[in-house]
Amino acid sequence: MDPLIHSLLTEIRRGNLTLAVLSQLRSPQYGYSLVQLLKELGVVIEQSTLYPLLRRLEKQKLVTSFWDKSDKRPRKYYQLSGYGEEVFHQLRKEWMKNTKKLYGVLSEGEGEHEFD
Amino acid sequence: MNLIDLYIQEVTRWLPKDERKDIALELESAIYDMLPENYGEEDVYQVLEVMGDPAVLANKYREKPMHLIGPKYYDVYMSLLKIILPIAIVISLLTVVGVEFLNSIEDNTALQTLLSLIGDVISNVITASIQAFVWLTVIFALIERVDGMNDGLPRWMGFKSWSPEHLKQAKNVSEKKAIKTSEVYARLIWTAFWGTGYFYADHLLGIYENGANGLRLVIPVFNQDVLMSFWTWIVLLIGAEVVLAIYKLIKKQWSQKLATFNMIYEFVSAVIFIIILTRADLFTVEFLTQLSDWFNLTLTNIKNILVGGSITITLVHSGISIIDRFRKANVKTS
Repeated sequence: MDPLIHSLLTEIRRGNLTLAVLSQLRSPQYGYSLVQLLKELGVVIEQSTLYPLLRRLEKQKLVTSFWDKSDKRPRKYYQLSGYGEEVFHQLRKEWMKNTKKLYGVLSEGEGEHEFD
Repeated sequence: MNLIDLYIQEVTRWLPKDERKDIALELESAIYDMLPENYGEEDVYQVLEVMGDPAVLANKYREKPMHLIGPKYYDVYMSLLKIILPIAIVISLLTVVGVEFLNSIEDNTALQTLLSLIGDVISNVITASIQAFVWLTVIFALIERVDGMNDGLPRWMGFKSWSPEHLKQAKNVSEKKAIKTSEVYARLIWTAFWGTGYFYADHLLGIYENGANGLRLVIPVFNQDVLMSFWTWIVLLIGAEVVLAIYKLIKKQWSQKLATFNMIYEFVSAVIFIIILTRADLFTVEFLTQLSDWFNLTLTNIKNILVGGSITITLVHSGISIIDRFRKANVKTS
């Protein structure tokens, strides 16, 4: 792929991935299960992107985490916090609105009347 | 140690100590999750390949910037560097002169004095430039790292975000009003020159003779004692010149206020020079005698011509400077 297109796509995807991750954290998930879950839904996320992202979300208090050491392998679970849920709803609403508009703009000829 | 542990160590060594353990444990668990039940070395390779370069992964964990000075502060940094570097050079130049002046010079030839001065000036200027550059860079690198506002917007002079208000300050800089930076620096360098000449007059200014030991100053023009009795005034003048230069570099154009400051400076310096020039014993008797021999004039005549000529030049120069700056300040720009 053209490297320019690649970097533009990465830019577009970056914000969307945060939303996708937040959407799946209403129930507790650990890293690998989250990757699988998103893959089933058709969203590919690199591991090397996911773990730092989860950590950042935790620092921003959008998710909480806990270690489950009962299994033979300890796992760090993440889950939306109350604040995170609030933020996620807001973001989702905005995303829906904006995407609808952008969809209108990008589907040639039908876009104009979508502006308000 | 197996490959996985090595990989994790490579990632975490870039990270803050208090986060290392947690991240290491999570990465380890994640990597084993990705491996099949009975894995071989090939599988480990594949999984680590997917995880990618440890340095890149570590950088994604760190939120600190990977650059020294980013786009947000680059403009301010560069403009400050352009102002500070030349000023540091001029100040270091003046310092050398000042320090040399305090350490009495042995009775060397003028050429030796000049050469050792030039040597000191060059090494001092280089040191000062490096110092100015390093400190400014360190300060900006620190600002970049402690800046809590991650807005990424460029900062301009004054560290404020841009607003249309900035245009009002910028709109008036027209060609005719502008202060050329080269002109400011030329003046500073000239100041350094005459400052050196003033404090080393008995070593530099005078009638030279080519003797066995090379060029040697035989008759100095001025009585250094007389010059030295005004040293505080001269230092104040040089200080005022440097302050005025900095102010000019910041303002970038002539205004009424700047022209008024310039007038005060020119006026005061003219007065000081005239007071010095009219001191009875300013010129050495030897120098005056030599001149009167050459031009066949009486001592008094020679002295009057020298003093009168210098005063005229001082007054004309100051007058032109004052009028010219006000003329520039009053140029209509609309």
